[in-house]
Amino acid sequence: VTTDDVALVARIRDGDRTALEQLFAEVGGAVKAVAFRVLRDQVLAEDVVQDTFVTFWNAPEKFNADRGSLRSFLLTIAHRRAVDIVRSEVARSRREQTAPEPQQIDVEEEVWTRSLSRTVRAALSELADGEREAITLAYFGGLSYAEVARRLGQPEGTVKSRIRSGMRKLSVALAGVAA
Amino acid sequence: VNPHEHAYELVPLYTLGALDAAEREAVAAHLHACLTCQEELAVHAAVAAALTADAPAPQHVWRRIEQALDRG
Repeated sequence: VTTDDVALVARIRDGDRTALEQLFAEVGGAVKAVAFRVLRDQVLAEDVVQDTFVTFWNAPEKFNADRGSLRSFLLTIAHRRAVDIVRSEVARSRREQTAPEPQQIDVEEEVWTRSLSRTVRAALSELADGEREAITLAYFGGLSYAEVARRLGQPEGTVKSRIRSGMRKLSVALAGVAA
Repeated sequence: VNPHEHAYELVPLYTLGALDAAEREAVAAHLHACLTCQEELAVHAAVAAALTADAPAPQHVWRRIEQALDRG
């Protein structure tokens, strides 16, 4: 794995954008997951993903293969940035209202998270077609519910309620294993 | 519409990033002040996090990264 990492980093240092794209395809999902677990906000999590890869592109020499995999290096950058965002948000809002505390996560918890992930994705496949389609387009396609409604030619209210009912079922499935 | 009920109904969509900017801001502002909605957020955020953990890389974010690199 390390040899692959070193080869990939060498290509990125040479300015090979396809190498970065390959890296993104391999770990972009996990990077977003880490950011989301801290931030609980899709838009901010995607900003962190973008920052993480742009930062790495601009300074690939900061990766040291002796200290770990490229994957954990990127997850660590993303986690640190996400925590920074939560802290600045908390500092800002503490003056106005009580805000949710930042949720610290351990990058090494990935194994447990992956088993939860399999459960929820199995539950996703068992949703009604309309629910699954709306959630998938919104979440994995990055569309708003209004955009999903236009894409599917359905009323916005229908899409909204399908997302809500689908998410409710997924949360029940998750509560069953996480409890 | 009661602002709490409105925000509460939108929390699952907020969690998925499926709201437009104005709705997102409204829900975010309400969340700061409402424990019930924060609890609802925690439930749905756990689902979204589990969906993401094993998820493929988000292609629309790759397009944004490319645009950022083009800008230098």
